Amino acid sequence: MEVEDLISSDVIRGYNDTIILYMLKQGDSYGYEISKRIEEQTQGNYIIKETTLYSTFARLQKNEYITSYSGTQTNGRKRTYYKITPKGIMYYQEKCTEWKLTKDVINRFIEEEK
Amino acid sequence: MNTLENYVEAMFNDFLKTKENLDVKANILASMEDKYDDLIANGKTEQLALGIVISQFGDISELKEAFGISSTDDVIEYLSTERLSDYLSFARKQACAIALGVCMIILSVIGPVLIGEEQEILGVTTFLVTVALSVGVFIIYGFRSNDCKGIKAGKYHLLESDKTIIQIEHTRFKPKYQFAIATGVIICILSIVVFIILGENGSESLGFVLFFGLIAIAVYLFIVFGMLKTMYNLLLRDEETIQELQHELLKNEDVWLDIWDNHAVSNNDFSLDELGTMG
Repeated sequence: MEVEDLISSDVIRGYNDTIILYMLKQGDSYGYEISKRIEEQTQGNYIIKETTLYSTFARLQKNEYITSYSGTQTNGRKRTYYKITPKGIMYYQEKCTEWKLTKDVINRFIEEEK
Repeated sequence: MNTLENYVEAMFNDFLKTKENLDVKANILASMEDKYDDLIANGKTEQLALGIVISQFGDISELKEAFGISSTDDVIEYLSTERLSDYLSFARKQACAIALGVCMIILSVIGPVLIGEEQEILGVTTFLVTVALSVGVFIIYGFRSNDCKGIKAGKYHLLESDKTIIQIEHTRFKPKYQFAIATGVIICILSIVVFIILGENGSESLGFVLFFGLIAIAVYLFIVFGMLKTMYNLLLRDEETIQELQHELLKNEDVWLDIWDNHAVSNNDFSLDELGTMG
């Protein structure tokens, strides 16, 4: 549980889109695989909640940043795969620029330890 | 794993059964089950794995927001694959059970004849027991058919993939149906012929038994195939069938009438449109 408290979902909210689009840029994938990769890539510092993951998919799909298709089901479980669209790639790049700027601005107000 | 299913089911309780919502629900459940399996594989206890998976579910209102569940008008409700297959197996069993019940009632008259007048009490007893058994069958299936009211009222639509499967099954069913009804009609005619011939040759009680036996077979075919036809029409949203069933559901909440009306529907089905074309 202590892991989840490291990053509050409020802080990261605006960037779930970016994280998921980044994952899909590496190739089509489905819910659990994406959430597992996020956990691995952040060394367990960010674990995305199921509801966050799937509402992000829904939002991205509504905006045509991703499309979905149903893939082969292993052990009878539902697997909806997601694919990033060209529009999604452009949006991702915008978000990257936005983040660099945000990071730059916020950093000016962050005191380094020591 | 049931715990996870129940948990997700409860969380999605007030979501409409739209295709989109059912898909998300199934996907989330699959994700949680995958996560659970991984945790178990990594040596976590079942209890701990469940705790972790559920704590990482999140906040359901987030999904409600994203899917905008507030507007409920003209939203089509879909029947989940699971409930569909439950309904299919129930409807098939019900058709056979009701048909068997009716057959038993028809055949119940044979008992006393076979046993003969010397043992009247035994004859009457077999008659009553057979009738009681069939009534039991009607009551059980009448009650259980109440569970399917929503489906019978034509409230649900099928998911596209399920619909294709049902359409294929229906196409395969049609020639079988026609064959069964034709066979039934032939058996009916045959039963009368057998009855007359055996009657003239002096073996009246054998004629009697064969007559009812054959009629029972024909009625069995009519009811089973009639009810299955109604089932397919209902699932494939044949307007007439749905209206008929809705009318029936409104007319009687009573289990008994429900059962008998089921018969009426399936019997009318074959007598009107099929006997006509059979000519």
